[in-house]
Amino acid sequence: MSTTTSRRLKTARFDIYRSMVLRTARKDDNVEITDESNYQFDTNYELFTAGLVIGFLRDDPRTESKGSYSQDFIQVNRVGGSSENEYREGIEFIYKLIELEHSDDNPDDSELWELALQYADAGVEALNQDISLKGEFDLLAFIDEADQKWEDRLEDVLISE
Amino acid sequence: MKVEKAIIKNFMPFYKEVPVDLQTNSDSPLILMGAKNDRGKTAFFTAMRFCLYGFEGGNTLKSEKRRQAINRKAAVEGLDEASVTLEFSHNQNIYEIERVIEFDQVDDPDDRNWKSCHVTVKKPSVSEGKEIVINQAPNEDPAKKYNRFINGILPESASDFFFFDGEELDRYAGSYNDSEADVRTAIETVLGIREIQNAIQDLRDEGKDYYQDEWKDKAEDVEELQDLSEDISSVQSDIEAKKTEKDSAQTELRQKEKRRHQIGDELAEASGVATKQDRVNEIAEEIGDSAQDDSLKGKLDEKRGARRELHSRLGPLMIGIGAKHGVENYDVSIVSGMEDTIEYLLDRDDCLCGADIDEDAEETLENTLEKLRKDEMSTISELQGFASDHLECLTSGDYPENLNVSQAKSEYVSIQEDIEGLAEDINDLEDEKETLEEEIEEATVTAEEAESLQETKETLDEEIGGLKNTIETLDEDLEELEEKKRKLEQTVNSMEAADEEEQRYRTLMKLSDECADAWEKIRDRYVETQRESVEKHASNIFQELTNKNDVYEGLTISKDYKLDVKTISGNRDIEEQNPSKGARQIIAYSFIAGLNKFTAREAPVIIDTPIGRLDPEHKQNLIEYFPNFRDQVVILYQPGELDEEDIKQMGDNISSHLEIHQRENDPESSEVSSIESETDLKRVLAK
Repeated sequence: MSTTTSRRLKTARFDIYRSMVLRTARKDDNVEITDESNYQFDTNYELFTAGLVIGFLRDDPRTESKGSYSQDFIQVNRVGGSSENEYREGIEFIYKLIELEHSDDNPDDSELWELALQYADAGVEALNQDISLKGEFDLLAFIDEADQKWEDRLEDVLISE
Repeated sequence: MKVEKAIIKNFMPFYKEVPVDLQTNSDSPLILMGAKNDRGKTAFFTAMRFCLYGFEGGNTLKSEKRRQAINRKAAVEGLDEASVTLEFSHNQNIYEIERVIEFDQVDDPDDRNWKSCHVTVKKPSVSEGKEIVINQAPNEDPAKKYNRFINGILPESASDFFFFDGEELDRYAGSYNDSEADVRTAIETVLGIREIQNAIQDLRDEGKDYYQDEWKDKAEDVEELQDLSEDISSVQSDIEAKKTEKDSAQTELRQKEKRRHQIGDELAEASGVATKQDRVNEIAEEIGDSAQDDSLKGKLDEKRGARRELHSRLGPLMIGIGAKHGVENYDVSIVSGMEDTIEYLLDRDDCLCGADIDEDAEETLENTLEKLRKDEMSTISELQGFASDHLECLTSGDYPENLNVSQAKSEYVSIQEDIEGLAEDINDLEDEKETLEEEIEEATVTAEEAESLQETKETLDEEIGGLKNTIETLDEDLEELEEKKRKLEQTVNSMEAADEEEQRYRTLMKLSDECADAWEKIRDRYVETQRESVEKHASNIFQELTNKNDVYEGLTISKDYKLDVKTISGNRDIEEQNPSKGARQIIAYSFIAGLNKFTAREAPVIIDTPIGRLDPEHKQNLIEYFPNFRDQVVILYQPGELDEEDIKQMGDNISSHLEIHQRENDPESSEVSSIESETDLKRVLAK
């Protein structure tokens, strides 16, 4: 079992993070924030978590992200501060599922984490695309999607073995 | 005037009522009335004059004559009044003149005195009886009605030529002395010249002077009219000036009211701008900004923040769905218990359900037990642990809005609706604000300008008030002036004919003057004609009456009515000729007869003592002439003047022959009776 210390949140679509994460936008000197409401997330790990679950549920990792991560955010075990929180627990839960899904292949932790990163970027792209298409952040649509996909996805991971 | 009857009552010697019938007819004009001396012949003569004219003289003399006229016996007996009444016809009217002297009863007849006196004129009433047409006390103004009445019949001044004493006639045949003016006036009155003269005088005095006075009045009116016209013009000028002033004031008022109206509009617009600005400020405050929690933007930001938190929790929420699913559908404890159960079953021959555990079943149990004992199982257990932890974090973590997925969805929908509502409100308000701001921007009046306009409006209000007061005052002035003008015009209208009247009076005045001039010429001509006629007739009569036809050829009458005797040796005045008393009397008779022939008056001739000193020839000639004097000739004679031959000579010319004689058994009283017999005649004729 791999340790969480080596796992770091990172993305190959930092551009999207910059446009959707308030704190990230604030750090960018090239960006002038006129309306904070335009930023759907406060921190990067929040967007990362959303992207991770969306990507996992759709099971369509963004493979092209591999080797092109431009920015590290934070280690998983430091997400949300010192105490346990829903982001960190959520990331660990998805990670465990990835681990279970690929247990027959005996992958190492880095391979599993790489897959998680690719899921996250795929989800972030999907999220960005959805916003672009709809002109707004359709939170309920993603939750509905989660309602629809989780049962099958869990069966894929847990029962098929 | 033709006397029908005389009634003498308690007058002089006539006691009680003494009626005297004096009727005559045209063929018998003479009434003879004989009386001895002191029987009342002169009293009767006096009574006739008294009735018509009252007594002559001043008040004292008149008073004494009235007292003496009261019959002594009547005074003692207290018969109250003495009177003379004449009934006569004149111009086909019948009149009755009654002159009364009232007195109180006295014990001594010498103490008798009159109390009052009056004269009345009556005439037959249209109904019956008589009506008084004139009732005048003697002391009243002689110009009153009675005088006008009697002057229209026989003026007193002319009466001397109708009522005369034959023995005093010679005064007309001599110098008129002091009374010549009166005689001349009397003659002119008899001839009607006096009327012409009076008419001329009236035309001069009453006519011309009257019209002159009227003309002067009207001339003054014309002058006044001119003054009034000037006044009207002046008032009209004042009115025009006031109207001009009022027009100017009204024009100024209209301009100022128009300006005030404009300012009112501008102020209303300014007021609208202020209201709009207030609304803009209100909207701005309501919208506010993010820092203001109570503002819409603050609330919106708050909601957006809440929404962003939910956005941020998208991942955990989606994972939560899976975690919950995993926890609920995949029980790790069951998996762990299975190991114990399999080991238990491997030690038995049959299953818990009663089935036999054969070798195949035992092999399966052993494989399953082996698999369960691998790491994978622990991984699933670990997964379930993460799932449980995650779910616990979702609902009971540090986050204040930790909600389960269902709650989060509801919350999100609510927040989203709030955000949309707030955004919509803000948009609406901002649109309204924008519209208002545009309107404010487009408004032409600024706040400073509005303040200035307000000051201007207040000033205009004061000026308009002043102008209205001015106009009101001008209206009052105009009303007064119009009233003044109206009154002046009314006065002028009432005097409009003044100028015309003035012309008319000028014409009348001139006409009156010309008329007087014409009448003067007529009078001169008439006087001359009358004088010549009277002279001719008097000359003829004189020649009939005189006993010296061989010497006297007639009479001449000068323009001053002085008589001259025309003799064979030339004309001489009476004094120069110096005829005898008898001859003078004949000359006077001739003159009076001439006058009576051409008189304008109609009156009886009453002659007292007609014969006097005439010699038989003159007497005879006169007796022959008496019937020719007038239509009514009353001859009052005394014994010796006439004899039976004379009476016989007058014969049918006598209507009645009366005698004034002593009342029977009353030596102080007289009465009048008709001479019915020869005896009576002889008695009255007896010397």
